[in-house]
Amino acid sequence: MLQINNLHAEVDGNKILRGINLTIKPGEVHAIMGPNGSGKSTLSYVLAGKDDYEITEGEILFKGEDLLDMEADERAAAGMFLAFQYPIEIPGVATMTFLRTAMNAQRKARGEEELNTPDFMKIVKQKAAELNVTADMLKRPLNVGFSGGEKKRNEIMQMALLEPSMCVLDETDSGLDIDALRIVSEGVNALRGPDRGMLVITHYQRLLDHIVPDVVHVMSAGKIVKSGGKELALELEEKGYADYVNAA
Amino acid sequence: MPAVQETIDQVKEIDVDKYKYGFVTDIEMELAPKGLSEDIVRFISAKKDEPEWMLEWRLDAYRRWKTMEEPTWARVDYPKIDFEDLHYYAAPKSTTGPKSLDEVDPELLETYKKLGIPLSEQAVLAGVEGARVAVDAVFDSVSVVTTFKDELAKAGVIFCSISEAVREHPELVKKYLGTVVPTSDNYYATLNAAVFSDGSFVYIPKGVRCPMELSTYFRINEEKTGQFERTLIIADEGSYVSYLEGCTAPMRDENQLHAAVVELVTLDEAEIKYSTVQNWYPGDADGKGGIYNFVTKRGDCRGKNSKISWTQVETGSAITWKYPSCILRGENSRGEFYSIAISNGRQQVDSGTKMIHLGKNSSSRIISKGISAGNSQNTYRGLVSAHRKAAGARNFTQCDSLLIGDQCGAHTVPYIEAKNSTAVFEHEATTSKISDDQMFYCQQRGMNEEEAVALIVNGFVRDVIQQLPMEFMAETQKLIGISLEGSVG
Amino acid sequence: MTAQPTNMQTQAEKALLEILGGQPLTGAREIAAGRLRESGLPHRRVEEWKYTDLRAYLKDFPTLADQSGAVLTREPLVPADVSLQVVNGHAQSVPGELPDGVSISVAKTDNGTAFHTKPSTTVDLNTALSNGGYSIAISKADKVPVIFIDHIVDGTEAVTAAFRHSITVESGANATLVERFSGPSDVAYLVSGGLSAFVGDGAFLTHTRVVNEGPQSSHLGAIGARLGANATYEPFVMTLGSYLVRTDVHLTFEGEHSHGGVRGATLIKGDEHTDMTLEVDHAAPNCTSIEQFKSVIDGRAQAVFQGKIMVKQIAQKTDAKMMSQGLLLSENGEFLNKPELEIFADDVVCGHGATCGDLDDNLLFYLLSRGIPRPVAETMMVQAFVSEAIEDTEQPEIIEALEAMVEDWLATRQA
Repeated sequence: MLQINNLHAEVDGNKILRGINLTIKPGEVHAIMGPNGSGKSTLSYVLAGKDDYEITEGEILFKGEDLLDMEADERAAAGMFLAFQYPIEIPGVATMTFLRTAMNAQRKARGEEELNTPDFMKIVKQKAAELNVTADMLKRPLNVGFSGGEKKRNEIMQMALLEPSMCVLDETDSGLDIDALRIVSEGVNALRGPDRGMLVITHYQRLLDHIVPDVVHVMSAGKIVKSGGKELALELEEKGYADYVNAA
Repeated sequence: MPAVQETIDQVKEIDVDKYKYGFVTDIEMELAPKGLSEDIVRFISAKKDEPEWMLEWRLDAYRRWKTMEEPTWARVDYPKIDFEDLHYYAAPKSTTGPKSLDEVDPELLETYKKLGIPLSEQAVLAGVEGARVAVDAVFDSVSVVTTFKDELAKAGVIFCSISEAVREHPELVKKYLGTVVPTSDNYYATLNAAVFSDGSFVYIPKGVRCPMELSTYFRINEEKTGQFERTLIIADEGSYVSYLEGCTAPMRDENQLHAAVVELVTLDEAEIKYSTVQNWYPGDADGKGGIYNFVTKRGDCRGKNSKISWTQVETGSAITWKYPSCILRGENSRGEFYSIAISNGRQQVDSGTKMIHLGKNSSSRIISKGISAGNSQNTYRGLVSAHRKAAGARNFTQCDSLLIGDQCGAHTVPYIEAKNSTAVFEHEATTSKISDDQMFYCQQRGMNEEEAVALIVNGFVRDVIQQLPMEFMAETQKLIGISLEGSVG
Repeated sequence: MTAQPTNMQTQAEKALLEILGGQPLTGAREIAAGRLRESGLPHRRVEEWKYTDLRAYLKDFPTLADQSGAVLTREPLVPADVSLQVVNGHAQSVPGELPDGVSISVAKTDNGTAFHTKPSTTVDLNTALSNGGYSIAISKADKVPVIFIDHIVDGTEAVTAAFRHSITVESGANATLVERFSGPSDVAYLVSGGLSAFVGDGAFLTHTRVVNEGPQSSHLGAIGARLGANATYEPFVMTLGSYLVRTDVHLTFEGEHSHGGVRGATLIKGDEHTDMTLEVDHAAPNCTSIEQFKSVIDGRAQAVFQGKIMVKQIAQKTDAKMMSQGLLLSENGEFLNKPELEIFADDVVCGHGATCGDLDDNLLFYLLSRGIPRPVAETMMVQAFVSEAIEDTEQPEIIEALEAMVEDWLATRQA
């Protein structure tokens, strides 16, 4: 599904990623943990195709295609989804409008029929209910005045709606209380499936109690310094990142 | 919401020819000879079968105009206009004042059909069930038809061409014409007073809520012709009317002049809501052709608790010089100005409003959204003033500009004059571009650049769009997509 | 300017012509004088002078003061490392010992060109009439020097005091400049006070100007500053009204990553008229500027604020914010505000705000209900209003001095 080979990336001349290797197969859930500044968020932005990052070396293959060759919207249409750590506010654009525009743009890009309004409304209402996204939130401008939890639920609802094949969740747990965390995690778990890959980026182990990964990677100074099973997360929780920071 | 989708569709559909109203109607016209003189003024007045007092009024304005100079303070730049090289009167030959729709030249009906303007009383506006709009259709210098007149008359509403009003309702015209925009007001208003050829007249009697939307649709067709229409709307005590104005013109290589005057009067407790979707031909990408839109629009809130609300969507014209204003004379009167001004290509916009607070506790609100793209220049110019006696005056102004590309300019020139200590004014202006983060977020969700821009811009102007009558909302959202087409990348 | 020479008829204009004709001029002075001869004094139809009709305000143009007068003993506004004095427009001699990194001389006529190139009457008058002033250069030193210039008009004759100082803060250097203007209360004198400042790469200049002229005087101030890269210039203009005060501030960003913080407070009463006209020119990318002005208006006084932020096409990533607020204490005061944005670069964040109103009734009531007498409550509220602009000044002594002046002004207002 996703294959990252020796990926190097920099921003404004600062080297952030220094040789990432990572392979995610369909159905697998990988977690990346690491201290602040280790390059976790950069990796998620590079996957989604944010402009500010320069790839100096390496490649990313997504379903066998060169991901780095695609624009951000093309990647989205191809099935790459990023749940933002800090979802963006767009004043004046109702959440519902945004969802419909995004959904139909992707369908069109894939050569599929656009959804008519009743069908669209039906799907949105169903997904929204599952994630506790109220009708009021759907009417309000996108993310404007949303609480931290509301923003994150909105992200996961979009994920459910757009049905991507590869989900990247960037610090989805940050700013969530325990109830919100549970709702969001349930939303994510419901999307786990044999055809879908996931990459969960987090600083804390607690998210991984809810979204149990198949593989855990530790990232430090722009590299993956250790990989293991879900027990690696527990170990990190206990001992901290110090060993790995020094190792890198 | 669906309209955003339509915007996007619209943007996609449009290929090279962005301006879809650019066709020319081939119809036999009667033209006044080029140039301006007392004889031409007399010619126009005679064509309109006007009484002597009207002719004198015009001649007085003409003599005054001869002594005036063109204003140069606006931030617009254009070659000097040769006022002797224009026709000041152009009318379809077949139009000697049609009495009913059946008598209107089919060629004209076809023109309006192509423009999407329903001139048949049976027709309803596309997509809006049950919405009926009475239309006064002005073609070059003359009103060709006014619909729903009889039905409106039952409610006591007078809706007709101004030429007809001069003949049929002289007492109202004499009482109000030129009292809001005096003949001496400014260069273009004075010119208009001398040569105005048609326009709409509305009178809403005491206590009447106008039973339907009124609308005037202006079309400039003829070459080398100035259009000088004059609109006068009077809302008597306790009445209400919502009025829409639309305009288009063919694509021509020469610039065409449009110098209109609109006067609104509201008496006690009355309200006028005036909306404009201005879509004159903007000229081509190199700035060739297009309309010079030099318009004076002013409302006078004469009565207590009266209200005037201007909403404008400015997407067309090569040059726009326009400041719909409110004189807030009445106690507790209220003025509103909601504006979207989009400039692209080589367009130059200098537009805004004046809120003149004279009455106690008068209040006003200004929301202006300017969007500049291409090589255009877009200026908001506004005045908010509270005079000595305007105790308790309130104003809130929000002026936002959005720049798309680095070859355009966005400027904000507000004048804020408080001469009463209890006046409270708040003014806020921002200029920014569409943030990279917003673009990336939209693209991450699968929209391409142009779709993302259309979506974000529609959000940016939403506060204003919401002020438009329903019938105009969808059209406006489409228009925004069209105007910004080609501005990305 | 649309005025024709034939319109030059006022007494002040005739007197000005005489002054200009009375001395041989060269170079920049002659160019400035030429413009003045041609268009005369600006009037309300000249956009930049819309609210300050100089032709109507200036009843006369007094002759240039030709003698310097004696050095006077005055307490400086703040403790200073160097204390200088300008009497009747003439710079007095420079003290023998100067702190490390400071060099000062008295320059004749042409002294500093940091103003905008677009003609401005305030600057033209200063260029044409100035007899020079201090030329100050600051190089990098351990201690930040505080330089105080006291401008005094002395005597019983109406004179024009015209001078221009220049200050150059060299790369990496840091300086504090404090200016004060004062004069007799019963003489209709005129001051044309110029300051040209060059702030070099990585340099820092804090500048405080206190205009506290005699009530019958007219003061035309001109401040021009040009900033290199990574430079900071923070001027504060305190204006206590007189018959007429107009201050033009020109700020130009010429290097990247520089910052300007232009602030001011105006306190006026009676029939006073003040005009603060500011033009900030962002001519280089990545610069930030903050403009913040407070006007307190009592009596029938009139305060004008005209502030323009210009962002050139090259000046991407500009961040500029301007705020102008007026507080009207009396029924007949006027606050005339014209904030402007002129923007040609797209990747910028620019904004301005303007508010005006009287004292907040709810707040006043709250204070009264807590037993605070009205005059005290009003004073507190005015002080709070003005302090917002003052408190960002770096040096506590300057903040203290400025706040003391606000207090004095409020005391005389209520007396």
